[in-house]
Amino acid sequence: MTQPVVVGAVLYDPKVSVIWDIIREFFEDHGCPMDVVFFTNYERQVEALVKGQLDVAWNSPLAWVDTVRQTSGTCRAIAMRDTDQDRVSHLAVKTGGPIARLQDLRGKTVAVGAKDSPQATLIPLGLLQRAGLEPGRDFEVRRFDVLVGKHGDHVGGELEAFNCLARGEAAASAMLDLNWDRWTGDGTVNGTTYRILATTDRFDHCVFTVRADFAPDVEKRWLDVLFSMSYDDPKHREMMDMEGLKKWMAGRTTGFGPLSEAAEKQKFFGG
Amino acid sequence: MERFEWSLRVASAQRDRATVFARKHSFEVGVPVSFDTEYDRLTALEYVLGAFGADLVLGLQRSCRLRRLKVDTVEAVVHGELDNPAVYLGVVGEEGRPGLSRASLRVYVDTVEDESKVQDAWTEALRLSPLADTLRGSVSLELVCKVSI
Repeated sequence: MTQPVVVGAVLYDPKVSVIWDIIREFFEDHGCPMDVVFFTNYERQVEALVKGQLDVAWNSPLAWVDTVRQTSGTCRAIAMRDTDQDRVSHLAVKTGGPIARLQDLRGKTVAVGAKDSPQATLIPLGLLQRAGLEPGRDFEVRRFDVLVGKHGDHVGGELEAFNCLARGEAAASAMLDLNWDRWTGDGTVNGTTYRILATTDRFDHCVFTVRADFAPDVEKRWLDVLFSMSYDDPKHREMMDMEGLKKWMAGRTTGFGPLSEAAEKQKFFGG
Repeated sequence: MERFEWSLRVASAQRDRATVFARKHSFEVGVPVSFDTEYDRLTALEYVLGAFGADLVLGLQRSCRLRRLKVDTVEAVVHGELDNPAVYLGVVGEEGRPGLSRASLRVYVDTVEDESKVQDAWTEALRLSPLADTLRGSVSLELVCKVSI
């Protein structure tokens, strides 16, 4: 029997297990047995990957940066969703308020998500640092540490950050572009009352990560099945909709610059 | 008193599906717990919560009948919550229990009878309920009876 490929994923909601059940079945049906191991946080998942307990890890961008750090850059990014590529985060402010440009946030409060959220904390704070505004020195950071360890997968912290802005307790709040689009679409955020003050550089989000020694033939077999998912096939579409993509893409490492820079400047991993 | 023991047989010849045989009856049960709202079978946990609701709805009816209180309809809404669903899913690093930590049951009774008499019947139903008694030891229970005319 073919040895199953062991894939790790962090679970922020029990419902996510349903998606992984469907994906696992899909791989099984296509002759590529797969075991899925759930982790409570990315720290444990990265540790398991580095130790060789996992073949593939479905990593957050911060978990990717951490894996690069722990493998001295030898790990590889093998696949990601189309929607993981070229994301941006926004700093939202009240329309017609006193904040017209980033420098106006000096002395003010900026609401962000969980401390380990790339999109709602690290990268937006990195944007402010690039503009010469240092967190804690030039402006106050109001952090919403919802489900720390899950790297902001849960939108709760981001939403609480926006609610902080809405209550007038912060001058700006950070959020992923997809959440801005969703929340202005469904009325959670009034797109007239609030506006985008600034937008970060593009960055990439989640990525399937492997160690350097992952067997090439196994990797090819696994990727062939992954890439065989087609949004045009109604049987695949439901699974792809649940996972939020229209196409699986080859992994790339060019989209982690803003996060790597922010994690270093903010000494996220210490040092 | 003589002991009385119930015997059931549970068999599974199909994935994610078990058939329970009890006396001359049988019923089908799905997986222990599902987080998929579209899952097409009743789970073991839903059977437990459903049985708990039925125990108290029918227990209250019986209690009212014995007190000669006329009730039209009795309906219950049951909610249950696991201590930590991630433990059931085998998530590495999670702590806690996979079992029920909380259950709430709200019974609605339509009757023209005096409310205090119905509440007394409810108290009696709770006292005599095998499932409420069983769950009380390990689950935080919130049990309410609402009477309306």
